[in-house]
Amino acid sequence: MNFVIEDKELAQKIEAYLATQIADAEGVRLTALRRLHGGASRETYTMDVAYEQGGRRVNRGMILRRDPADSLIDTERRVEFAAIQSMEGTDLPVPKALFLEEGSKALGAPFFIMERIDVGVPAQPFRLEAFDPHRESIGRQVFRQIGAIAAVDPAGSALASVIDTPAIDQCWSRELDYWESEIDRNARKPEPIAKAAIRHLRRNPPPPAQRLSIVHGDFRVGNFLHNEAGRITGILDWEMAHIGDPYEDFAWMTDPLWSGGDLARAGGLVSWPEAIGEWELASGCKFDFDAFEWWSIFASVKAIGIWISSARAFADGANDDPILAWSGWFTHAAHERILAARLSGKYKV
Amino acid sequence: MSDIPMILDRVGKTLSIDVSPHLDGHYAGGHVIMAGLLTMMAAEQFDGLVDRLLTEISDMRTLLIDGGRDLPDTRARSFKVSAVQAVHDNLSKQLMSLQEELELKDDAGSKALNARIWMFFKDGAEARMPAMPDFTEARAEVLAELASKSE
Repeated sequence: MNFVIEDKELAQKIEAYLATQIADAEGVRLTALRRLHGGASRETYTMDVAYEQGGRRVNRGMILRRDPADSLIDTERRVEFAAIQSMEGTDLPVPKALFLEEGSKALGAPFFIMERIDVGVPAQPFRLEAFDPHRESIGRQVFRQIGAIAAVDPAGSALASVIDTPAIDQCWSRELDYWESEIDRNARKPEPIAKAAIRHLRRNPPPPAQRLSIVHGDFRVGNFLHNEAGRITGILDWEMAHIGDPYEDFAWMTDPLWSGGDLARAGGLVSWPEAIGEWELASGCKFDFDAFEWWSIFASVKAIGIWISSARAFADGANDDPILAWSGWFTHAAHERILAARLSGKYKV
Repeated sequence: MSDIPMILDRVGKTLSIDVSPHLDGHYAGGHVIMAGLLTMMAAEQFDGLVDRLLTEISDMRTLLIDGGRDLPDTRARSFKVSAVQAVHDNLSKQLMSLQEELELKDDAGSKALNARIWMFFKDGAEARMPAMPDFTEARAEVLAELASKSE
């Protein structure tokens, strides 16, 4: 990265904070601090940290995620921190969670710091051809990793210590209740398609979860890094993590918006039989079409809930990031179209 | 000069494609690209917005009348977008109420009308969908980051 300190005052505060947190570190200083655009649910900074420890010079890349005045997703930073911690000890490429600060004294707002993964680039969700010629290999890894997350036992995990665990037959209703309340709370106009979809989901509930799992909550193209040679190097953006039904991540990943219009392949990446096979093998779950169908429609409802929340934050002036306006317009329209196309077919006479 | 869609489109492209590469920092460039894309979307939607709202108002009135609703005069008092949108929102709420009632009934007439409401939703959603922004013209690396952080 460029050796630029974009915000000297913030850099000094970070240096002072890190000096108290890194054991036996001397002369902690930032050699680079740069704010990244996006990350609307948190202010995201990339930084290079240098210090001496035990007579040895250390240089580390870190990511700071600090709460803004308002965020697209109303979550607590300790949930994201705990979700990342819960993946330690697995083979999943997840950044190491370093420091969590829930007070505002150190940096003016709650934040956490994690290690930066320096290998890999994020993919653009609307240009899946960027993965070529490794698209299928990436796809197999995606569904294997989604399955591997589902295989982590939530009982006793760091995540379970900071959030509630639902009853196994209430995963679906808890999520649906939550996102309906978000839609009702934040909608700036009537939402007939989302509300009709929610009623459809309530009238046609899924089977109980096969087991309780850690759910990433936003595993999709764009939220992982890849090395441009066919390997996923980092799974990011854990702020929507929770404990629930393992189908939720599979369905979110295969939502048509993230599939680049290629519905013949799971997530626009790999054949459906291969995706299902990888997921079943890694998760230990058995694929059930009825359960998947429910969670798939739910994924689009949840998406609308996110986009409506983003539009509200922008309209109220709580957050000026234009990506919130874009989400509340373009992607909201996209998910209305997806839901209306799917459900109009089910109610055709 | 009052060709508003043209102005918005040109300004949006200038911001996204010409201005953004000259800004220092990932954060500033990303903001300007996104602002430019939104301006281009506004240009695209500007001309057809009132026409779409009026078409949907007419369609909703038909559905509500066929559903037995006694509609007062819900015509807009002006053609300001805000006035037409208010009428649209009012009818949308009534349509949601009608659909909820229909979902509780099992007769063929109710099912048929519910199917028509869903087709209205489908057609309306198609009409509202903005064109996909042309990501190939703007700075690919910044747009990739934007997309990856869209929440």
